[in-house]
Amino acid sequence: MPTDSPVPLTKSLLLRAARDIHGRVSSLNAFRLPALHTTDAQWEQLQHLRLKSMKASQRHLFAAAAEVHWELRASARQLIRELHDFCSHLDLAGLQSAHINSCREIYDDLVHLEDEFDEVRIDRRNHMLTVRTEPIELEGVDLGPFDIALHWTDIGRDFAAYSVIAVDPVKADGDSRVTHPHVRNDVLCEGDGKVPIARALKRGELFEFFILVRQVLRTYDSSSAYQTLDEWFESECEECTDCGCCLDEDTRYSCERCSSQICSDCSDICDVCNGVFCQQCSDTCSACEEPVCRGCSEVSADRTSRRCRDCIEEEADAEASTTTTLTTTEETDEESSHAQETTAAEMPPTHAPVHARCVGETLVSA
Amino acid sequence: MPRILLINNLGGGFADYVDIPQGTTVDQLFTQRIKGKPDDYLIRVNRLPSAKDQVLQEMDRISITPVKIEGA
Repeated sequence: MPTDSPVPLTKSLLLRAARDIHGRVSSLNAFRLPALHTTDAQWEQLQHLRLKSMKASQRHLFAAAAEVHWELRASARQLIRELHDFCSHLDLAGLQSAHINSCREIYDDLVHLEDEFDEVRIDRRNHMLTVRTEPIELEGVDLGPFDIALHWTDIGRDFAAYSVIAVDPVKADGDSRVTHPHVRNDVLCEGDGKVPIARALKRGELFEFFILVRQVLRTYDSSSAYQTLDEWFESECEECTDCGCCLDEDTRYSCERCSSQICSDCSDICDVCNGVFCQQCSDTCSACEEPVCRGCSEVSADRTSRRCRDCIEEEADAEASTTTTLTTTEETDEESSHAQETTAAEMPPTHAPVHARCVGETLVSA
Repeated sequence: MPRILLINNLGGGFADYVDIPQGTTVDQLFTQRIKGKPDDYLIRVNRLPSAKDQVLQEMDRISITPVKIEGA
C-alpha cells in the first residue's frame, strides 16, 4: 500500500530498491546442482557385482555367474537412468538462467516506470513497489485509477506477490469485493496474462511486469468477468415507476399512498396535506387547479372531476355565510318591529351585551 | 551481427538474446518473429515506444506485448 507521504524517488533510493529486488530474483534463479541421491551407493554396488561376476567365471560357476550377470546389468541400467536424470536437470537449470535482469537493468526499469505511470512509490521498509495507472475506463464505465503494489519479497511464492487496489473504488453492485471485472479482493485474475506475468516477475523484468498487469486491467472479457459491466450498476439505478428514469438519492421519492419510487418530475405535492404522491395517486382540483391527493379530495356529484377539501370547505362556508346573512337580516327586521311595539318604558335599556350563547344569563336591571 | 534481447510477452512468453542481421528494423523483426498485426502489440525498444522503421542496434532490448490480454 502506498504511504500517504511518498518518499521522493532519488537515485540512491532507486539503486537500493534495485539491489533488494535483484537479490530476491537472483535467489529464486540461483543455479542449484541437482542431487545425486543414490548414485554413489549404486556405483559401489556395480563394482561389487562386477568382481563377483568375475570370480564366479574364474571358478567356472557358470549358473552363479549368469545370475550375477543379470544383477550387474540391472544395476548398470539403474545407474545410467540416474545419470540421465542428472543431465536433464542440468539442462533445465541452464535454460532457467537464460536471462535474468541485472541490478542495472532493474534500476533502468524503475527509472522508466516513472515515465510510464502516473505515480511510482517505493517503500523499502515494507519491500513494496507501487505504481498507479491512469483511470481505467471499460465500455463507458469509469473504474478510476488502480494501484499495482508489488511486494518483492513474495516474488516466486505460491501466492500472488502483488495486489491491484482501486484508488477510488467503483464497486460492482452485486459484489462489493469486485472493483474491476477481473479484480476481486484486490487480486487480479490474470487469465491469459498468467504465464508472462509469472515469467516477468521471476526474471526481475519489472517494467514488463507492470505493463502486463496494466494491459490486463485495460482489457475486458465479459465471458470470464466476476461481474459484467452491463450489470455493474444494476440496482443502484432503480427506475422511476412513472417515467423509467434512473433514480438517485437526491431525486428519489416514495408515494405516500402506494409506496412506488418516483422521481421529482413525476411526483406531486398535495396542496392540502403536503404529502408526496405519484401521478396515479393524485389529481388536480377542478376548482383551484392545484394537485391534490385522493384522501384530500372528493369526487364531484357528476363524477367527472375532483375537488380538494379546502375548496369544498370554502364553498360550504361561502354558502353558509350567504344563508346566515339572509336569515339574520329577516330576523333583525322582525325583532325591530316587535321591539317598537313593546314600550320602551316596560323594558329599560341595558348596556349588557346579549349573546346567543349567554341567553338567560344576562343581568337585567330591576 | 548485432545481438539484441527479445522479450516476447505473447502467450507463454520468453526472453532471450538473438542475433539479427545488420540493419534489421523493428518492423522486420516483428514480421519474422510474430504472427499478427503490429497494431495489436505494444512494441518498445529500450522501454520506449518505437517507430516501425527504427533500426535495431547491438544490445537493444525489444519487448513485444499484446495490447489486449484477457483476464479470467
